[in-house]
Amino acid sequence: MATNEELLLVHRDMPYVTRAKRYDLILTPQFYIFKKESLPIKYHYQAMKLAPSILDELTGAGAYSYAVIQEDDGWAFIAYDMGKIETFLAEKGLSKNLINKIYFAQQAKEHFKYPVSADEKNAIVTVDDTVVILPKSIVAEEEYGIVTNAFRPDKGVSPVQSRTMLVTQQQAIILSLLLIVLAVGYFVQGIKYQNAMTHIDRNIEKAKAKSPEIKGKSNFLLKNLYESNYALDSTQRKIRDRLKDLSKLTSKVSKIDTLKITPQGYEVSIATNQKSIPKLKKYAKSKKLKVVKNTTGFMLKGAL
Amino acid sequence: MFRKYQNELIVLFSALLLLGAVLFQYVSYGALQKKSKESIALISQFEDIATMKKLWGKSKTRARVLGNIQRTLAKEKVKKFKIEKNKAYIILENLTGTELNKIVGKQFASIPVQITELAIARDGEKYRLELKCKW
Repeated sequence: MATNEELLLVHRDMPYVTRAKRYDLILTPQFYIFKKESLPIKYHYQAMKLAPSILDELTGAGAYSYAVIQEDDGWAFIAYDMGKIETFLAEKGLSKNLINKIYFAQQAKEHFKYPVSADEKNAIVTVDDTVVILPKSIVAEEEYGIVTNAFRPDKGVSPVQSRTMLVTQQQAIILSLLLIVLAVGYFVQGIKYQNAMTHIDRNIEKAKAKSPEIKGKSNFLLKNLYESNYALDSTQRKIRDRLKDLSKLTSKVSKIDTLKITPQGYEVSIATNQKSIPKLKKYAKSKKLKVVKNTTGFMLKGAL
Repeated sequence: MFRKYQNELIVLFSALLLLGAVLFQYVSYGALQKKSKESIALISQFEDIATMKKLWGKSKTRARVLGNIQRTLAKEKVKKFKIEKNKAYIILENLTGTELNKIVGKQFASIPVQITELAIARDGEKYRLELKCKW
């Protein structure tokens, strides 16, 4: 896609320049390795996959990025070291952060058919469909062209694309989509749980509405109400259970002298004979009634 | 900076989004489990409150039930049978063991009144019963 940024021709002997705005680069063959192959490949991505192996013999050590250009008679494979290019640009006063698009001179081979001056000694020119840098002495032109916006090819490489990354853009998109789909799934599930909680709240309110004793009261108040009622219910049931237990201690020989039972506890004195005391004690123990030592009879005293 | 690591940042952002969604789901699930348990207990408590209030709370029939018991007793044995609003103070005297068992075990204990004090004292073969209760 064409841009409106300034198009800078990058060659080894370019002058020191500074730019405050974003700019596009057109790299001369000094900054890339080029090989043309006539292969039965239809799609760009297939050519991109082959680029490293095709250029393997030409590239030395370095972190190379690759580009491919479809030409009339085959594919042009390009390898370039973005790190080195950025270092060079920094030496020439250009910030790598302002690079918008990177183009290769090979992409503009039609424009370089008329030689363009690179510096005092060299010119860029298309020879046999390949853009090369030649000494001006060989080119022997009296006048040289200049790079204009008309040179800008249709497609350029983004500096981000050219950088060696942990994940490619395609991988990033696929992975992100996968993660987002999962996230949506979990989020929807979470929403369902939230809705279920609202439903529970409604059920609680419905349950409250059923009973006039608790209608309109807060959960905190109801908790206190439950605790106080539970304590009362529990105490009164214990009183009745204790009365039932104590009544079983009486017989023809064992009679209640005094009995007092309150929500706080019980106190019972039973008149009996010495023979019956072990039996009474055994029963009291089975019912967890506390026996008080008493010389005159049998006495029980304790909390409910 | 963003352009430099845009692919990694996109993946990182998506991963964070997933993490957030997982946390949201996890927290919501935990809250739902808790609420579900609480609601079961709460609704059960509502029913218990209603039942207990009905059982031990204010009632117009308690005084009548106690009055019915009074009518079954011989007058000379009733020393005091005072019913005031939602309180009762009863003193019965000269009860035999059988009468005492019947009155305490089968009558007073089966009425849902709040017993605040029940006292029994024996005098020979006879018993004195004192009961304070409310409702």
